Amino acid sequence: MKTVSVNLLPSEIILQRKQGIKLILFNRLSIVLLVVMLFFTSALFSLRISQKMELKKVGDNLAYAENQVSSVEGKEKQLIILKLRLNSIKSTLGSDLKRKSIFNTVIALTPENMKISEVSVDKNGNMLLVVSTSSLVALEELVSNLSNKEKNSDLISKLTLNGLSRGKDNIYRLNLKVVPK
Amino acid sequence: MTESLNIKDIYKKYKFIIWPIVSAFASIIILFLVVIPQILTYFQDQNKISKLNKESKFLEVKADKLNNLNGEEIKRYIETAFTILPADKNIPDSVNILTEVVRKSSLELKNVSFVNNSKGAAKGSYGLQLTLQGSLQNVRTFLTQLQKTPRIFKVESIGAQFLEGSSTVEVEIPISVFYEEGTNALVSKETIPELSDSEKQFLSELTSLLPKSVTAISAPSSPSGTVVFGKENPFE
Repeated sequence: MKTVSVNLLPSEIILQRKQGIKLILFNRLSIVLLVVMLFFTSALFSLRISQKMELKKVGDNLAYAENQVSSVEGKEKQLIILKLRLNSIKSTLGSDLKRKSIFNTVIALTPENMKISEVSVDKNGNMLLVVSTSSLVALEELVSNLSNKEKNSDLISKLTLNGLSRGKDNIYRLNLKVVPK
Repeated sequence: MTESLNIKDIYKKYKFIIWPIVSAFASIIILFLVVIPQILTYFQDQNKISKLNKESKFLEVKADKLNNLNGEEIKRYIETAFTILPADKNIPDSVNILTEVVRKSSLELKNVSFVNNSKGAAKGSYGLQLTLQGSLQNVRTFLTQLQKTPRIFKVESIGAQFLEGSSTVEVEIPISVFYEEGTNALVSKETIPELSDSEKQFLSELTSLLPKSVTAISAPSSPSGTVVFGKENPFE
């Protein structure tokens, strides 16, 4: 014989019970959420603690490295002083090269049969040369030598004839201004 | 009694709502007061760790490089540099060197006079006015030899005049002699001082200028690495 179940409870009570089940589920979910949040927070705290330990370790390493550098600070200072000194030497050395070069070059290019009466070189390397000779060829040779880039080692930028005269003794006197590059 | 019954009734009635509210409230508080600040601080500290690591590695490399330097070699280089450009005027030394060059150039030293013309606070110079006599070729030799001396001499100008009826020339050469007073070495944490190849080459060229018989003028040393001032001008 088939059995038939009949719920004799009123429908309001059935609805109430269904709602109650939903509330219980919601209640349990909220507790789970709180537990998860607490778990996440404790994991975060553990991470922070290990990070703090690493920070301390790195700080100790840095202090050790700084100590190592301090122990050789004397050498470092010596090296810095040396480099500064070398820079000063470099900047000063050779600053008069132009003057010496122009003097030496012009004297070397002066023909032998020419007499130099006066020669001066100023701070800028400008040279004043007073020469005398009885030979026009020697004069020409001097001017040609001083004008030749290869012979004058490309040191001279300008050659000015300030004066040329011939005396009663047939001696040519030449007054030259040499301007370096 | 009736009050407690009321509370119990209220709890029974609302127990399924109280827990979710408390749980949500607690979660929000934990999130905003603990989790978010800790996450932000975590990233800040990670940056700090990375920065400190980088600095520590740089300093280790620096310490290693400085430790590998030959202290004796540096000392020799400093002695060379301070011989070429001394900390004090040391006029007798410069006059000696010049007279030696004059002698080697077969010139005659007629006169030498001192001119005090220091320039600036740190780097200084003084002048020596030389009057030489000899041939023009020997004057050329003198000027060339001047470049090979263990001091910095700068020829300011040259004035040569031939003596009447003679091939001998009288030359006036004002020379500046350089020196540089004590310098303080400023150590920087961010740089590693090193001698470059060109600097080493330059140093070996300077070392070749020093005569073996001349004792190098040592740089006065101090624990702080600074160079002290030298003696005053003995002519004054």
